[in-house]
Amino acid sequence: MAHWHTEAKEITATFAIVGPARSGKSSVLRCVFDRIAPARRGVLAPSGTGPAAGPLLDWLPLDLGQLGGWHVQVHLYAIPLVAHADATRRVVLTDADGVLFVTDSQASRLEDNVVALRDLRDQLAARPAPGLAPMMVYLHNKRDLPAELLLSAAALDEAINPEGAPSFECDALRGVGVLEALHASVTLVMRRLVPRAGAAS
Amino acid sequence: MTAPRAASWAFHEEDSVRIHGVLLEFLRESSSRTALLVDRAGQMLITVGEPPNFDPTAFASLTAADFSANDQLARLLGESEFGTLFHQGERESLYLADIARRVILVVLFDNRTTLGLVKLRLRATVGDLSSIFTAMFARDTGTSGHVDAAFVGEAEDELDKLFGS
Repeated sequence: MAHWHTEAKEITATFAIVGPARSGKSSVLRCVFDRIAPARRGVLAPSGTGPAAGPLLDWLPLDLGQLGGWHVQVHLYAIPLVAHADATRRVVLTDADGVLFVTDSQASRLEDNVVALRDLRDQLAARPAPGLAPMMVYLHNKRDLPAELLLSAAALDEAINPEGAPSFECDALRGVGVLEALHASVTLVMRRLVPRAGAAS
Repeated sequence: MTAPRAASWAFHEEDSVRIHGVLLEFLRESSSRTALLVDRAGQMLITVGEPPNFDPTAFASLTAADFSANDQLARLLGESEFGTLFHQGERESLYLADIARRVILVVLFDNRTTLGLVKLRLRATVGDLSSIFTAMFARDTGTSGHVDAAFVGEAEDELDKLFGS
């Protein structure tokens, strides 16, 4: 959850990019890195997925600049869905303001999407403040694949997004839909920060 | 221990001064080298004592992951958590303690002191810090702020520019 440094007038918001294995989480982060002006983003810190591959997450900081007298930063984390990244995933989810859930749109992967979402909900329920859930946005990825392999976005939403959170059709490899989804997610989180921005100043 | 309900929280200058005071007193009484506070999300909050000679960002992330992994171990044993962790090295050792379920106190010490003395002095320090942080979380949760129109307006304009819409 957002960190407020009142002396430095800084706010840092955390976003977790999650989803089933090979749904395109790292590609989403890479797409953001490629399309945001270098002056506004940090260095992409990529991970491997093996046990000895270093930190088990990809991390990208974005600088939103001065907003209403506060310096706002956004940290994006993509965490691989492997067992040995479980502790890392819990740490990031503990403080996530927003979650970008990357689904694999292929009909054959529906069950994987459902399982990953169920795991996510279990982990969010274990947060110290479970009542304040992070803002969810869904990215239905791999829309570039042949239509006969894919579920429609409406069918995916019906299966895994019954609460009607914002969802976007994406092709992370070509950058389609990713920035739109991130824009929606960051906007939702910023709107939720507003009462606190006034309170802490 | 009741989990704090704070959604987000803020350090004020007076919090920082009080926490520094508590940690300096602890370092003096226990002859430890350095005390660090890291939040459960892996961000370094405060360092007191001898400046550490390692990358603080990596250290904070690994500390948070260490505590999180040990939470899982505790649950396997039917415990809700392990409140403290100890890592012993040949020259340097680490003692980690949970503060109000949101923050981790890390103490670095060497053979100028003993584990027993560190543990003894830490007990009161953990109590003092828990009170400070619990009050901080309660204060920030209970604050009813005013909507700052400048913030939301500027945020949405800036996001439009950043994401090119």
